[in-house]
Amino acid sequence: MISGAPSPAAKTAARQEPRPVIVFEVAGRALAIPSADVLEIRSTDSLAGEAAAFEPAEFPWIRHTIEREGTLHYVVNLGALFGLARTRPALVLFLRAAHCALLVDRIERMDAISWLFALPSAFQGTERRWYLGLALFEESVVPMLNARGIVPAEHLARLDAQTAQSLSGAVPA
Amino acid sequence: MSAALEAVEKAYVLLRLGERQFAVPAEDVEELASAGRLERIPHTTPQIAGVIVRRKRVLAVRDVARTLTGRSLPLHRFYLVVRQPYGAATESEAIPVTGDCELLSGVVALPPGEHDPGYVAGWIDLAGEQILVLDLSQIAADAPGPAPRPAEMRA
Repeated sequence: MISGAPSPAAKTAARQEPRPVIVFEVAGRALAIPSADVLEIRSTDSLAGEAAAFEPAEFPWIRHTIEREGTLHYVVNLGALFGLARTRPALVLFLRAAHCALLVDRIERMDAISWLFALPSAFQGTERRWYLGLALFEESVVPMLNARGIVPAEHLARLDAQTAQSLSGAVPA
Repeated sequence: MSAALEAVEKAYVLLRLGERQFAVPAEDVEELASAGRLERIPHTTPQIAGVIVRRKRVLAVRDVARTLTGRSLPLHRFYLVVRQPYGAATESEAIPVTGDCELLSGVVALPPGEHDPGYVAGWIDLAGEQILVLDLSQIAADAPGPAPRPAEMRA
């Protein structure tokens, strides 16, 4: 300990009502998302006949679309988006907040958190919109995904424009 | 944390990154902590290796060794926890360091050279060895590249 140094800044975490979260894994990394932001979880096998190829050059982590209850969802390969090792995702999480779905390897558990740490300001990249903050489970730090930040509204608008152009008739009215 | 040091006596913490020693103003240093578990989270920010949990806080780990020496430390025994300014506030960050740190008091630093990168706050003469004083607020902003040697400063 360096003696005589001033006390550290007090900012730590924001306390909130306990909220349920889904902890899942992508390429060996634990990630979490508020349960309320997930509409449905399905296996990739069950979607085999429903996914349509769609490969926008601007968003290489999106390779497919899936129509769910009349709404087209862009399927985001989280591992590719995050630059992680390639895996074979087994599950798809359909999001409530944005018409996209996330490919993940497996669900680790359901949990609840009362505290969410702010992402340290040292992080200055796109992760600032990817995450709501960092959750602490025992001694493990798990990023909490921001369902609206994985594919932000302006990107969705561009994707919608491309699908309207390339998949004429496939986009719901 | 000013880019140019005033010619007054100050205290500095001497840290080692691999084979090379650097110094930071002691007023920017919070503590020296043993190397805990580094948590890697997906991100796109250069220099940031991950986070650690320290005293119920989540601290970013800034790998300055890669910026200053060209490669990350293969092994590190400690984290030097420092304060970084972000706007009007400061946040603590952890810097992996090779070994123990040393506190130097009553030191007058020389100003940075004309062509030194912005993260060079000055130089300390320690028994004939020139030690680069880091301006931690600038190290994140400067382009990666080996830190200048004292001879380069004088050139």
